[in-house]
Amino acid sequence: MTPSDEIGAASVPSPSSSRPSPLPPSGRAEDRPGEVLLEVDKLTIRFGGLTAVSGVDLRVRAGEVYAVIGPNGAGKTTVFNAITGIYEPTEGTIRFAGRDVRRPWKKLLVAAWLGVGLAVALLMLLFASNIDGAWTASVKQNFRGRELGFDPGRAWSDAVAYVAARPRVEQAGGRYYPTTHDGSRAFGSFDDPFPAWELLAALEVLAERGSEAIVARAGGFVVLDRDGVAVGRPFAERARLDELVGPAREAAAGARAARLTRAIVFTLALLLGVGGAYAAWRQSRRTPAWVAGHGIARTFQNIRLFQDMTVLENVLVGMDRHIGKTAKWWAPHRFTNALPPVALGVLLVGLSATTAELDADPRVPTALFALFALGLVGYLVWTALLGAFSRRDLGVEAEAAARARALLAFVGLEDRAGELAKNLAYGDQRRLEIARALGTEPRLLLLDEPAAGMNPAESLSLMELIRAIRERGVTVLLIEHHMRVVMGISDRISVLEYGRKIAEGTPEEVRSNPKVIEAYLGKEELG
Amino acid sequence: MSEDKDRQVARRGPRSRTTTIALLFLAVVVLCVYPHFPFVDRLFEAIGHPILLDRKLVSIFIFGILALALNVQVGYAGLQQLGIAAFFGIGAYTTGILTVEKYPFHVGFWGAIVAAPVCAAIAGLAIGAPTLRLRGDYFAIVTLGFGEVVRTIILNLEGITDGPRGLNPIPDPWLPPAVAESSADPARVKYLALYYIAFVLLVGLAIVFRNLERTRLGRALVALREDELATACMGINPVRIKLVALAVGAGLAGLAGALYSTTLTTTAEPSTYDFNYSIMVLCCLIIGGVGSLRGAILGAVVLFGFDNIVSPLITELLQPFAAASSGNVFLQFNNWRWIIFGLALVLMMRFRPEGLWPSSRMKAELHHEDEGPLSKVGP
Repeated sequence: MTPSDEIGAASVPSPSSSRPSPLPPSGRAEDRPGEVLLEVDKLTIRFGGLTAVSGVDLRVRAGEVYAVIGPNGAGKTTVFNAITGIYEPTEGTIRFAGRDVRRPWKKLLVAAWLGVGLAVALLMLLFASNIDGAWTASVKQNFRGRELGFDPGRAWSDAVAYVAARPRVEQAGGRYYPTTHDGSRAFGSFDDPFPAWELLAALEVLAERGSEAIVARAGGFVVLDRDGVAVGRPFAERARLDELVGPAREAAAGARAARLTRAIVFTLALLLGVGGAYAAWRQSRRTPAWVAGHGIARTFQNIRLFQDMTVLENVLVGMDRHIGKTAKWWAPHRFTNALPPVALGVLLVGLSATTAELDADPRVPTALFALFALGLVGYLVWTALLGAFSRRDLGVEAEAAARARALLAFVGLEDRAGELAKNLAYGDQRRLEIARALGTEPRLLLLDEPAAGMNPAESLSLMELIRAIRERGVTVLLIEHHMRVVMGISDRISVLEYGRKIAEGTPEEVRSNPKVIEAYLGKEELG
Repeated sequence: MSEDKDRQVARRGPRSRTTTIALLFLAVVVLCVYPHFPFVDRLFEAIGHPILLDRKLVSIFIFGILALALNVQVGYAGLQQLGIAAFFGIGAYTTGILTVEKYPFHVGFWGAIVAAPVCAAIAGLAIGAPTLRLRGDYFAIVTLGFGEVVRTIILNLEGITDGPRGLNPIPDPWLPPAVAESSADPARVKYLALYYIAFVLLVGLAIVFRNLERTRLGRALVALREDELATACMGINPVRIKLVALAVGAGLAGLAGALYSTTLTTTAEPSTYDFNYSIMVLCCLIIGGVGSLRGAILGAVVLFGFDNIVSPLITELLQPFAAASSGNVFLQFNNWRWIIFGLALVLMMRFRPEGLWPSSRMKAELHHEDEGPLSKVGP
């Protein structure tokens, strides 16, 4: 350690001096030191023809600080991006805590896809069969004024009949019309719905069997179905029945064609919907949010803070998933907060109800509304002052802010909580990014060049911070170019070059590995 | 509370904060009693040019709710939404179908005010779920197309929506007998009821959104706007947050539609809900300040006030001159309206892109490049 480093260290408050003890709880009990936490197997990532990473293996054990080093462009950040779900590996697997971090397949998913598919299919079916017509056939047909009422059951069955291209009986002006699927009323009208339905049934048989189905019976001619049962009441003339065969066949053929089209549309839309839902699910199996939710947090090489949010808010965004988890919706203050405005409202309604009886007095209406307005103002004052509902909901927010402050204190930024993130010094921005990542309560923390751009004093206190993080039970995987930082804190090191791992081991082993020296310094010339 | 202090130190002095609150409070009190003491209207009546401000305030409130709705999507979530009028129209037509005499539902105003936002929100989810993964400008095109498609569908489903005539009459809201009988004039009762309903909804929504900005969802929205990837790496699902914003915004636009159609007693013709309308609402935000609650409302007041109150008034004042010069088009103010409007927008974009009354955060985001090199420092 050079003298200048020591001077620098003295002038910068080291995190350990300002850290509150005991440490805020973090890490998880399930991580037993020494157990393999992150397992990267033969990871290969290609962008088009360019191979960024090829066949990299990493084994990070719980409780260690593991560094990945290598010259620029060696694919280190690409490995990070693959671990955190930003890139999908071209080949190879990434397992965290013994399992693949991707959305698991569940049987319920099939139901969800089918649900989406069915919704799309029904919508397309409605489009294919004319929404206007379906509305007219069901709602408009079955409603004629408030007095006569409305039968939702009838409306529903009519809508189904319309969409399924089945004949219906429509009524208009007190007459009942047998109606084909396309709404034509070419078969006369009746005073009563029953003969209309009977005629439709007879038409169906005629369309199928033609004139053969017509038989003379006592009282006239009837239509017999295949079982020899008479359909409908007898007709006086046979010619009248024969005339119906042609139109019945036409109508039946039209209905068959319509049903076929709609079935095709329905099936295609169902496939499209299910396929789309499945594709969306497949794409979102391994997203950064999903990976982060399972205990992998990270920082970025080119600091990606929320620049225009305050320091405290940055940490609170990191803690998002852990805010209000323990809060109960039946917490008493939620109700007591809402009580005064509600009481005020009840009082107002009561008051206005009693005063309204004095309607002989012409000033009463104005007084009523003035009272209402006053009550409104009172309510607004109340909400503004006490912030009912969300603002003070609120033990939750206060508790989260306290935890966020503890994290800020941990990285040594407790007195900058109210500042905008962009106004922080460079080193402080890196620390804030670490605090924000710790807010997600990770088991594994990925640091992408945390010491980049830091002066020696800052990088010293960063090393202390990383050790403190490890003491909290969080495993650390970092990319770093600062050799002093890497050699000072890492338990194990991997060296990447041109997307391949060329060495792995303890700092001493790596330092003396000829391949590593060659990668960094070039090959020694003989002679 | 200490968090609030930090905030004040970071953003602006405590003095201006108190002034703002006092001004807002005064505005709320004045608007509460305005229907009973319409002093501005009396003044203009006295000089012989009634402007009917008390009536138009109801429309301004509704327009304000619509601006708040769009603000959730464009301002908070940063979605490029160009079809807000579609959701407004869906709200209006849902109200129409559920309340008019010719259909069997008759749920009345209070039923519709619940059903319309729900229907509009479902439409928002249906359009958002498959398209939100698209990049910003493609999403803008999708919403633009959606707006036009909805308008065309409404126009062409003549059996349901009565096509260009619109559904009417939409019944007046049911009121407790005590209130309904408080005045002999039913029109006055309806006006007062709608005035206070719209006003309470607007103020209530403003309070809710003000509080939202300081909760999990509010913070997640700001973070998402600033850096989507970093937000995702914090374990926040960006698609879900955007869907919530889209559904909330669409639902509120539906609510505004329900109020609008009830005020008019008709759903109006479908061409009311066209692209121009969406752009008008977007202009409210641009004038007032995108992402700023107070800015959205101010924008609605300025834009609607200019278009429906100031512009007709000036036209009327210029009437004698226009008549004298027998139809000189340049002397008719109506013809200048859009030019002035466009000019104002151009000037705004050039000199005050953050809007008339921006939120401090948005102001900071828009002036990112001016302030210090720190934000750009990187290895």
